[in-house]
Amino acid sequence: MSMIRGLWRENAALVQLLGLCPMLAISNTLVNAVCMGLATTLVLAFSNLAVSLVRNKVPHEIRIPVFVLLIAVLVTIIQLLMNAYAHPVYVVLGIFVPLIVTNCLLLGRAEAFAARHSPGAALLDGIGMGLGLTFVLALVGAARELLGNGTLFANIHLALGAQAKDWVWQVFPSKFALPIAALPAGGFIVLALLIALKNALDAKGQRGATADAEHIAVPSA
Amino acid sequence: MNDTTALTAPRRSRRDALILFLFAAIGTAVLSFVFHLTEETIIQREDEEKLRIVDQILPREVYDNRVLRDWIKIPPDRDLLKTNEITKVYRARKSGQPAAVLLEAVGPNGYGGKIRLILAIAADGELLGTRVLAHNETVGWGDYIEAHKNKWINIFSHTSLERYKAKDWQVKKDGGRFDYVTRSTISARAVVAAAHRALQYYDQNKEKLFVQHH
Repeated sequence: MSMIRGLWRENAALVQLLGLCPMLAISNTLVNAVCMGLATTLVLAFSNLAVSLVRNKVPHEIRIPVFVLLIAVLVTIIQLLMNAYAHPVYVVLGIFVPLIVTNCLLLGRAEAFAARHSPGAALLDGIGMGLGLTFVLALVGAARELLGNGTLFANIHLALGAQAKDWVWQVFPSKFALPIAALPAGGFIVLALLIALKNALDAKGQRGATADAEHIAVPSA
Repeated sequence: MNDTTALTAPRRSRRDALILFLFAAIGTAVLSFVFHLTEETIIQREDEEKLRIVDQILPREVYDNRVLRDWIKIPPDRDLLKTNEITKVYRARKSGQPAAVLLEAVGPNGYGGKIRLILAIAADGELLGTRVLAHNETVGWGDYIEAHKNKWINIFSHTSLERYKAKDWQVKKDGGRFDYVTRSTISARAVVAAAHRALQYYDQNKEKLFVQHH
């Protein structure tokens, strides 16, 4: 249940509008977006877990500095590990890996959820929220890459090694592409369209639910 | 959260400070452990990364030393290299004799600001090749200066101050000898001028650049 919440109803990117910095900066290709999303998910899962584990040992007044410290340590660990074992991805994501520290989603979930729930629930919440963000990042990345470049899966070899070099899919020639989609403005536009789409789906779902309810309920005067 | 009302304010502050300190100490310990664990791998990866660029502009047969381990730092050069900070110059040698240098230069006047270049210049002043390390040119327009997007950057191979006179070091539109992509002339202009200045810098400083120790 706590995972579903992050994936849809309280989706970090579409509903809480948290964590938009990577959203706009690094979502210009599908591969970048997914890598960034997964790195954030990893940090978020562990930061939620860590915060939940220490929640009864940290006095209320200093909880924020302690949470920030925990997040910063985790991000730095991920940064070092990525630099060593996923170097090409690390180079592409660049400054946005250390900047995960400043992603409000992390402190937001630490404060709003992990500090009040058991480690297991906090971990699941972190994974759910992270995957929800990754899912939206992937959609934005795919849309921007397709519109802006005419491709999908560009740079996939950076994540999966040289044998994946031919997996790049040129959907249409890049001369028909819209460069604005690859620029930050394109990120805003695509994200706005996705939010509108989600709101439309939710509204439709609600109308359906209300219609059903009316069907059953006794009409009021 | 603990019930903290039972403690007096000074005692509470001391306890909070101690808790913060403990978290900081544990965090630092964990990080230094992971740092040492990954340090060697990271240096290795970074060298591989640099060598990938080096291999594109400096053929292996030109040198036989460990070029990434043979470098000097040079002060900022605001006239020709347009650098604002100390940069490293890597020296390629063959049988101990100077073969080429790898030099960083900046084209300050790109469409999106600075364009950072790395240039391989042979000991005799021939420009072997150059690559863009960083730029902010518009995606889809000025980014043809990147090697993996366009072959344009290769037009610098085998140029030199001898073969190209001062007025040749411009894009064709301005009366020079270098091609450019129509509608994004500014990017090409900045790179051509930066390459020209870097060659002049090398010409004026080549003795100093090959000095043995760093």
